[in-house]
Amino acid sequence: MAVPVSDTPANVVSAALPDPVVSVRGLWKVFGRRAEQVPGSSALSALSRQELLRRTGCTVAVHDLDFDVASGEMFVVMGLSGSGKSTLVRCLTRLVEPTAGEIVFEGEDLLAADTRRLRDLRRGKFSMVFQHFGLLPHRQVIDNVGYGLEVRGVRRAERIRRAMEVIELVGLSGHERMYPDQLSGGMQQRVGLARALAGDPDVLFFDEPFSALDPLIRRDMQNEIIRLHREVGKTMVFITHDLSEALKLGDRILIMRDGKQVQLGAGYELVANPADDYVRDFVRDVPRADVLTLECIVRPPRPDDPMDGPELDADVVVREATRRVLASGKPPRSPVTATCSASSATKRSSRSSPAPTARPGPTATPALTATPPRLGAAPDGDRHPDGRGAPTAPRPRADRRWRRRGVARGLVAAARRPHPGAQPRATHRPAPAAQRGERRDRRQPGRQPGLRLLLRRHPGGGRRVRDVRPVADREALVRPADPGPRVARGRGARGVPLPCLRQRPALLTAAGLVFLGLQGLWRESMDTLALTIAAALLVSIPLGIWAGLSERFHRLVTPALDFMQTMPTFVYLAPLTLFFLIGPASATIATMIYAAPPVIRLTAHGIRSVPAETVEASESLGATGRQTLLKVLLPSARRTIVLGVNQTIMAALAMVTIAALIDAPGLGKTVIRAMQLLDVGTAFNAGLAIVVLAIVLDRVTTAAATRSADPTAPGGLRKPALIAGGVLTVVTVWFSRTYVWAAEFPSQVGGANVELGSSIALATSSATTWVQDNFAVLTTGAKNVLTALLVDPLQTLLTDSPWWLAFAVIVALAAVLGSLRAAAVAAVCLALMIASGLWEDSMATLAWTLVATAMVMLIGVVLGVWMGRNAHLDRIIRPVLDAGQVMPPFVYLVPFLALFEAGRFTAIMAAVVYATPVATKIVADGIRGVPTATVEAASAYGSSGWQTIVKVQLPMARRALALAANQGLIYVLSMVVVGGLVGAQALGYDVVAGFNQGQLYGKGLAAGFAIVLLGVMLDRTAQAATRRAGRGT
Amino acid sequence: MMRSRMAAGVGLALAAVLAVSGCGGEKIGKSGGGAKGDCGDFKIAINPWVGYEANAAVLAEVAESELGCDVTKKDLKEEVAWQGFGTGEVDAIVENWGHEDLKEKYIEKQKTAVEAGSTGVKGEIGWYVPPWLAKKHPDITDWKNLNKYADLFQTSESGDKGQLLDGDPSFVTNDEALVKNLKLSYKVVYGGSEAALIQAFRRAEKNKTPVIGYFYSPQWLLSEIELVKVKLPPYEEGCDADPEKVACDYPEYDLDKIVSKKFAEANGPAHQLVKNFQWTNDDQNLVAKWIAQDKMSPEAAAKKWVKENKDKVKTWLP
Repeated sequence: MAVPVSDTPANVVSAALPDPVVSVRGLWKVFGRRAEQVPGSSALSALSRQELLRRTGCTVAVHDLDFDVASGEMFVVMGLSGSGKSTLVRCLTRLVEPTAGEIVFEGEDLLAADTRRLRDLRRGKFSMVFQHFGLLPHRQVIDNVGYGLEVRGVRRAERIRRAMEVIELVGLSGHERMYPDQLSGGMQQRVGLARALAGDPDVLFFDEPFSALDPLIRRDMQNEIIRLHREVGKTMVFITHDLSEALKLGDRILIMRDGKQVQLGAGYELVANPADDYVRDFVRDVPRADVLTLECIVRPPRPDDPMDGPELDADVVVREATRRVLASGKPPRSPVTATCSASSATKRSSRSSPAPTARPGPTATPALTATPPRLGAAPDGDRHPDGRGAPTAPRPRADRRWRRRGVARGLVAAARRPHPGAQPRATHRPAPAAQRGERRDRRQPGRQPGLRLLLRRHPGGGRRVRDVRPVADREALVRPADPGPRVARGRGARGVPLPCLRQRPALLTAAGLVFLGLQGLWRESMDTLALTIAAALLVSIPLGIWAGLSERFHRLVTPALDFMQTMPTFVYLAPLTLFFLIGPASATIATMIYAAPPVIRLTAHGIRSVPAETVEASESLGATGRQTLLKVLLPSARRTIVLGVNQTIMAALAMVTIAALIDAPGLGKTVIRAMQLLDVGTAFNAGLAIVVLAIVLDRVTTAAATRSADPTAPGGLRKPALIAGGVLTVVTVWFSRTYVWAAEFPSQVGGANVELGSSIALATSSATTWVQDNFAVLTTGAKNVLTALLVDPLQTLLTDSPWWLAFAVIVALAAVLGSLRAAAVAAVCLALMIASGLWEDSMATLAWTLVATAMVMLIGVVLGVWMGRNAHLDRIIRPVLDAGQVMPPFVYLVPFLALFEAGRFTAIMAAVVYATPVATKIVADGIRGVPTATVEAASAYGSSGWQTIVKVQLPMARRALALAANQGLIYVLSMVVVGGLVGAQALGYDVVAGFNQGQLYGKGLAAGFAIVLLGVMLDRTAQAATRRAGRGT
Repeated sequence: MMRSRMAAGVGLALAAVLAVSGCGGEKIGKSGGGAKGDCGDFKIAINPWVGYEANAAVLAEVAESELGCDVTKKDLKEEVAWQGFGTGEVDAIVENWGHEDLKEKYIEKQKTAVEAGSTGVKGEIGWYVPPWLAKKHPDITDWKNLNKYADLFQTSESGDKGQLLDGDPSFVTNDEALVKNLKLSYKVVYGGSEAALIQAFRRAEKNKTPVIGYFYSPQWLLSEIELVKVKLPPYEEGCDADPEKVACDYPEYDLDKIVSKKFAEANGPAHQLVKNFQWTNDDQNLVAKWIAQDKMSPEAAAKKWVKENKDKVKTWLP
């Protein structure tokens, strides 16, 4: 009896509803180059998705869709991932521009709307709820909810009032001042929902809003949506991949596959009447008895049927009917007008129009036979995927009214044992097409009363949400069983440390600044601070923002940043002074070239990694580009940006001494001057000041990155405090400009000398002298042995082998350790080195930098593992590492020269001091990142400490180790020039000499490039090796 | 709590304001400043060595106190300072070591600078050994005997040859050619900085270890350690014409002064002072010693010297 469901494709029925809210015709979205050729071409559009991708490189996400959404309807779009449903909903809101087709929204051509009109529509007419919520993490719930109103320019008081209403509506009262990360997933989505409702739109779009939630929460949220739909009567378009969700919520369901419509109809129609195997597969596990209604399974009475059974409505689901029928023991009767044929759209709109009493197709045939296995297995409805049991009462749903109809009697449902094997589809022999069309025509007007009914239920046409129902009543409705504990924990966790977070940096800053003053370096420190901040932030952050927003600029700027970071500063120091004159300006630019890359990179990265949904959420609420940037992108990326600022400040401080060579004011000058006299003490004093500045700036910026405004602190005091601070600043500036006592840091207090600088200098000098005198013999011995054992053989190998041999070996190594691509890069770099005539110098430099990197890694791994396993030690060592990173190398070079004499080994030691901190920190972080559970598991199996390190922690921190090696290498390379100052010769000396002697400038420049080439070569190889390590086992 | 703290802060500030306006204090701009002459701005480059700084400090002191100039000192590397002439950032370089290349570039070609006469200080470049070594091996100070002692100077950097430590990248060196042409069994190792050289000599003298290296006079280190110069084949005019074939000692440099062309053409009092400025190696060494070893600030050292040498200073004044 397998009769085809319908003799026309299912999507024919999707045709027009009168007066739809959203009307879609011929909608296409194709991704790829020249996408617009696809919809127009019948040849191309006939291709399968894979075929099209292969032939044109285009992917079809939405394939020629037609459908209407009625006012007040809950329209569900369902499909598996990749079926194009999310793209579809984004096309409907024009977050994604459709390739072809027509979208009419409330009679207006949406695709014709210009940016301004579109923004107005988004602000007022429709809004969207996102899968991953798309909330702004830096805003409290109330400000998240009010965001859409804010971008519209609604006053704050009005915004808050309205937001509070909606928050109450979605059941979040009491949570207004929380931050999203303090809420559970379900509550966050309630915020998303409230945000969408706040603007009182006509249509709500939901993009898989509950798929990121736990099953239990999901059920609550579904109920919540049902409740809201009933209360506010909005038209809703709901995307999901979950069939049970679609069936539970949808008035009608559009099933999509590969961008195409597979079937459109009410839930029971899909279940009873799947259009093809794809849909059949979907609905296979749906407990039909829960979905199908009597109208799907009834047959006309036969003469011998007893007609005294219970009378049941046609829209009673089968499971319920079964129970009642079994109780009565007699076949029930049911008044049925239409069947659950595929022509749902028309049928739905027909609820109030009387149907013909006698109709050819569906009036006959076997009844409960339709779903024998399911009926038999009725209890397993309790194991329905979403945990929903059998509905014991007619579903409290708005859509129910769609099914109620004035009915002719006389049809009887048989309550006998069904005959097995009967096909449900056989029940619905479709009416001939012409007849169906006629029926549709007749029934269309009937849709209106339903709509009016809907509106009547909601005074104010569903617009005045808060008037809908008294609060208490609303409370009684589906209430979230939602969590308090997590919130409470969040509160507690934030309540305590916040004051510390705020005060500690302040105390540290105060202490640090006083210390600088006591060192007698107040003025110099302030010059340095000004230079650093100017260089770090003024230009770089805007550049970073640009790179974050523009893919093209990002691609353009990335290689430039690589270049800036590896090019030795000496190379551009002299030419810069030609363009920008001598002094602070040039120094600032030189510092910027060296120091800006991290903040540019990280700002761009921060902006680029703001979740797409968050940005879309903002756009979908009608925010302008500028509003999205200022209110969403920048605040969300704040942590990353501050991290970049932090790194840039560190780099700028490292440049201080170099910049002093072109008359940059500040501490660098003091260091340089002391170096001329080999006055280690004074240089150390100034170096210490740089370290203090660095630590203060580091801790302050870190605190700024982790700080999140205290939810309990009233925000209103910030502004007056800032104003008072500003006034105070102006007053004190005036004083310092007028009175000498206010302008200078006092070196004496009450007659006592408080200047510490000279004592520090003196103590350091004598300590250094002592070390030099007592250890020189020892260190010279160590130097000689290590140089002979490590550096010399490698250098001999590299420089004395024929160049082509060394060339081939290095390229081969790059291929083996890294990738073919890395090998190609290495070959190009080496060829350029040969071309520059600096082959031998390059190889000599390579030799000692490799040795230095190996030593850095050795120390870094030992120290890093130790620190990673011991938080106490970490706290002690970390400041020392910070100091090693920012203390100007010049300071320790002099004692090193005394201990190790001028030579490659001294350069290696300087590089090790400079590069070890970075490597150590990365390793320590990597070790700490190994999940505690894994380490505990290892211990539980009786691993010794050593076994845990070697077999668990180090292998799991493999990526961190590779990264540490890479960074260590880059840092070592950046010390090549400094190495040249202490006898490493080769490229480093070439650069230094080039800076100092005009006639050597060309060679110095070439040497600078050669260093960059070495850097690029080693970096690419190391990166490829890292990727391999990350992949391999 | 925040509000009360804020109130306290404002109160404190107000109290401070009242207290201060009551008692007053020394005013900025009213205490300092001497007689302002018509000298105007005077921008001296400060190249990074102490001898230079001694020259510049004394000149600045005289210009400020006697002529009322507004002196700005700019810490610059040499080549950068020369560039400064063209841009007007620098008026004068007051100790120039040869630099024929720079003279050609900026005086002959760009015409942004002009010479302003000798400083009276004589510069010497050469090979030096620490005094203890010269005492122990008196014949080591002649280049002919150097091969005999090559083993003494071996280091990890020079392999099986003796190490000749070169250094400051700012100075011209012919050492590689010299070693080759004099057939010395030595290898030139570039220390790369003045600090590397000074530290090497200090260490050698203190620990009585052997070292031979490139150095120069005047340099403040010479007043701490009396390094002994090694005799090389004497310099003759033109013997260093071909850098590859140099086999003679370095010439004696007459350290001179360079000023920017604009500065010279304006010929203000500061320019006349620079032009007239001349003193001796001993004068410079004295001031340099005060700065380097006695840790006086350059300004204080200059003041002291000017006070003690009023008659010399008088001859420089316009």
